[in-house]
Amino acid sequence: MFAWLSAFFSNPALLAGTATGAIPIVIHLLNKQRFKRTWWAAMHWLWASMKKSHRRLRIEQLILLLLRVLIMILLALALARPALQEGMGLLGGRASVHRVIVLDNSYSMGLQVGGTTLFQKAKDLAEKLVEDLSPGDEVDLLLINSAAEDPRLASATKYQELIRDIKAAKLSDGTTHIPRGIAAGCGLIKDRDSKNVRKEIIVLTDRTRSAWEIGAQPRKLDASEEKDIADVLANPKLTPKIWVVRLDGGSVSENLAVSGLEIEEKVVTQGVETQFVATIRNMGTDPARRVPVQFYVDGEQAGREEVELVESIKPGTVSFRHTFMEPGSHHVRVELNPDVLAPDDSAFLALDVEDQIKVLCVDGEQRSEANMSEMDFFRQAISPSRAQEFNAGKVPLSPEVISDGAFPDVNLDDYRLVVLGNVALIPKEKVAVLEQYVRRGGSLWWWLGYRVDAALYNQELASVLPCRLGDLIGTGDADSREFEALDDKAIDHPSLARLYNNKDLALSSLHVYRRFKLLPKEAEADQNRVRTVLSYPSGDPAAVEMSLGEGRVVLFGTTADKAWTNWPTKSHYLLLVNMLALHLIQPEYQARNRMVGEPFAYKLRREQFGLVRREGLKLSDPDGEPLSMDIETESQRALGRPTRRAGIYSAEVPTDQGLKNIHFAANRSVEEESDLDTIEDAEIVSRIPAAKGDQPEQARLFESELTREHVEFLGADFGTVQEALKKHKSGKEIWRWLILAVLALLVAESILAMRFGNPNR
Amino acid sequence: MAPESPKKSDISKYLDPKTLTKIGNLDIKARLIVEGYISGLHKSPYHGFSVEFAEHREYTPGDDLKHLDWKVLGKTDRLYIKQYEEETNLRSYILLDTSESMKYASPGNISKLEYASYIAASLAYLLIRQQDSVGMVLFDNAIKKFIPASSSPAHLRLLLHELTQIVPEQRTDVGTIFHDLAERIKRKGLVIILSDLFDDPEKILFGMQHFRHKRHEVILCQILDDFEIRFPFENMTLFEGYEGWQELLCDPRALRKGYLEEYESFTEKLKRGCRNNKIDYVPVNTKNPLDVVLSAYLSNRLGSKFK
Repeated sequence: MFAWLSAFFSNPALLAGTATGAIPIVIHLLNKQRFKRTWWAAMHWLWASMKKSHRRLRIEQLILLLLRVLIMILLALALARPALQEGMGLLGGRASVHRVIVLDNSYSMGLQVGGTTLFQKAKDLAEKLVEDLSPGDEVDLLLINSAAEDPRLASATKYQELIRDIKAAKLSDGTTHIPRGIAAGCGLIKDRDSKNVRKEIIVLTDRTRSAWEIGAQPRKLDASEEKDIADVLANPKLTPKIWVVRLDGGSVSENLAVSGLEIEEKVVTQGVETQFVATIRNMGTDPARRVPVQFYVDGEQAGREEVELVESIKPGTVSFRHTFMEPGSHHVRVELNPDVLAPDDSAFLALDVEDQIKVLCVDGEQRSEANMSEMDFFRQAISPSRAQEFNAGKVPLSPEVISDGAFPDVNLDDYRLVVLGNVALIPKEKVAVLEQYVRRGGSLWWWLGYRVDAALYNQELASVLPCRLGDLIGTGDADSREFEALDDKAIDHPSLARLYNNKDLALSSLHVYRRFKLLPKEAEADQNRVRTVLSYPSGDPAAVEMSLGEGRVVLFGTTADKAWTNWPTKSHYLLLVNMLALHLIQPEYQARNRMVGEPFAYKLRREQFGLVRREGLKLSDPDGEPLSMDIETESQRALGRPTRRAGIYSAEVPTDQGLKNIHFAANRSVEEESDLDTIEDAEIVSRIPAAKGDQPEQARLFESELTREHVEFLGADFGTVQEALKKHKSGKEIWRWLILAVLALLVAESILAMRFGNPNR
Repeated sequence: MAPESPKKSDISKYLDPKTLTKIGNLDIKARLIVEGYISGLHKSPYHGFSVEFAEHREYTPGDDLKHLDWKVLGKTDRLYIKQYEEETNLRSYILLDTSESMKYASPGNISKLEYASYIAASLAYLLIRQQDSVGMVLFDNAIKKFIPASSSPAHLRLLLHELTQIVPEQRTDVGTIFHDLAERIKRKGLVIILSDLFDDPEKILFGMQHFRHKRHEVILCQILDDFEIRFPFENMTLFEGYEGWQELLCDPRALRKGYLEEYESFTEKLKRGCRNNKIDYVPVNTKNPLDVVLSAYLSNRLGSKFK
């Protein structure tokens, strides 16, 4: 009912204090009731004096009473903190403002509405909000999206510069996070801590649900963001009024997005056909038929397919095949025809095409006779000459066998996989090198044998073993009937999917005559990184895998050759070792494919490290803008800043053979940002507590102390926004003047009271 | 042999009205006042007023040399002072206002009436001791008691008795009373008026003129309480009036100025009127010692002797 009062007063409730103006009157009346009685003889003089001064006395009393009433009323008014409104003539004025404009430039703001984008509309609104300010006001502009490293675009009192910045602001490829935008605004207000200035945060965004919650999970704030909000709310002088201005994109009927682009086989090989799978989502409400999808390799169109997307949100996939003839770094792109939300119509992938993948086999029992060395069967199983037998296509594994004596001197950087078979002991220093090798993405494969001492392994190699070694089980006699077969039914390792339920390739025909019992590591943290690859019907694991850093380690409890198993004689063996080897080999390009907002990483080879440190790494973004990458000495890799733009990035890496071109790809988070499903103001409000300590009617939208009284939702036209700003308080606070007036009146009252009461005047 | 007089310092304290209230007997009070007063003078006041020689007394240091009997000195070489018979033909009337307003006493003070009574008593004592005859009139808006003048010591007792019997109750109507009295007191004499004079100053002065017309000497003592002179009230007060005045609730601070103006103008008028009519006007504050009036009386007497 009295809401309009809040346009003029900060604390309208305190206006009730004006009733204290009645206090002096009551005191006056009470005083009239409280008097002394005395008999008096000289009444004729008293009455004469009374008659003479009666009129003057009445006037004096009235003046004093008026002054006292005025003092009380002005005091109450001052406490209610009134503000003079603009347009109130000479009296009018406005308090200075610290306005933080939070401009959402996530790519969903790129939605085309009526010939322009929501982002352009938001920029126009932001410009007007800056122009609306008066000299002496402060303004900050924040661009909010997950891609921006530093959201603060500008803060200035030179408004023309700021308007220029707003005009130049671009859509990002990041996602929105409105609570984070509000927290950033609060943080800015806290840092600035402008005195005697009204604080305002105006968020300009769209109506998407994903700005507030993702998959029914509210957007989270980290502790420092929650603290920023809590801090400004705890201090009334800092507490801002927050308006969320939501631009309406209307109902979107046709909006398609490329939500993924993947390679079927992780390791891409020169001359071998590679299959790419693009996932397309229909984010609109209408079914999309015969949607053309373009496929580009290294910028050249390499394919075109069509896809039917009848159901909303449900993804459809398109496959493209391509054979790379050149090894090295390549990039591919999938593109749809542009629709109302253009940014999500493409996806990118950077990959490496390998000519060969070097595998180091360390043989603990090297012999000159054919097939008598420990690693002979294994080498043959993964070697190219036998690869035709492997129906998955040509695998460019290039094994190199050395004796365990030569192992300590080998530079592991040259190899993607190191296989150790029946190695008795590894020097301590090499164990550390091995661990570092795995942690940086290398892979390690252990076979055991008679030269292995379980106690020594457990003691010296614990850091690079996925489990502990127990007792030897079995006679080791191939002729005896005592053997253990592998368990067919217990296969759930992703790399062995082809063996699963394949009757032709029954693992039960793989026999083991002797093995070490594999025991789990004691530390719980280690157990979490470990999984069983193969096991025996008794439940004992036959092979165990562990992830360590970015690499993987696998251990088989038996031999690689025929000494303790019949495996090398079976065709399964070929399949098993190849699949597992490919599983273990980590393609280096994975760290070069990231979502927008995440940083790229590039592993440097030892010989590159020095060169790169000296010459630096030149990364350029999709627009060709140069970006810097930091060189991390410990992990020997180049680490970029969080990415801002989606697309293909490229870098020239110095190598021994000169500069080598490397590609990186950053993709948009389509699930988050392309989903233009809207959330109504009423729902947001119902999910914010009404007051501090309350619980909202529905599940909380975000965890902070923000309540409904702090936030107001507005329509997007400037008139509405301007009206709301004015309503909040565009006036100049005059409580100081009122307090001064009260003091002056107090002095006047004292002087007059003394003067009126002085009989000698 | 006369009882030994109390020491000067002791006896002069009885001039303080507050001290006197502690003494019950008005007779003693009167005596103490007079003795106290006299002991404060440098010379015996009632010597030399009379014209007829009475006896010789041996000179004591401090005696006025003009009364030294040179003849005796010449004859006997001794220092003797001539003493005279006192005048007995002075008739004095003490007019005492017993109206209700005389009851007023500010906190810690004696009432105006009490104060006036002490003065009346001490004057009567002094006069009779000088063997003058003294009469007394008690009045308010009418003459309540008229005691003709006499100089016998028994008369003093009568006067003192009357003074103890006063019950103040009526309004003052000084003007009319003075006219009445001026007619009733036939023989010229001294008229001493003890009153707060709460009446129209014109009327009062008119009455005075009547006395003067009858060739009376007049001493007009206006007896007021200290509060009536200063009006020192601070807080909201309801003033309840004597003599039928309507009560008044007011902030006294606000009225003080006007009140004091009224008081000043009243006394100024009175003073001027008295001066014009050769009347001794003696303002008396009941807070002060009682000797003011006695001094006024004596100076009046001396003045009339040497006119």
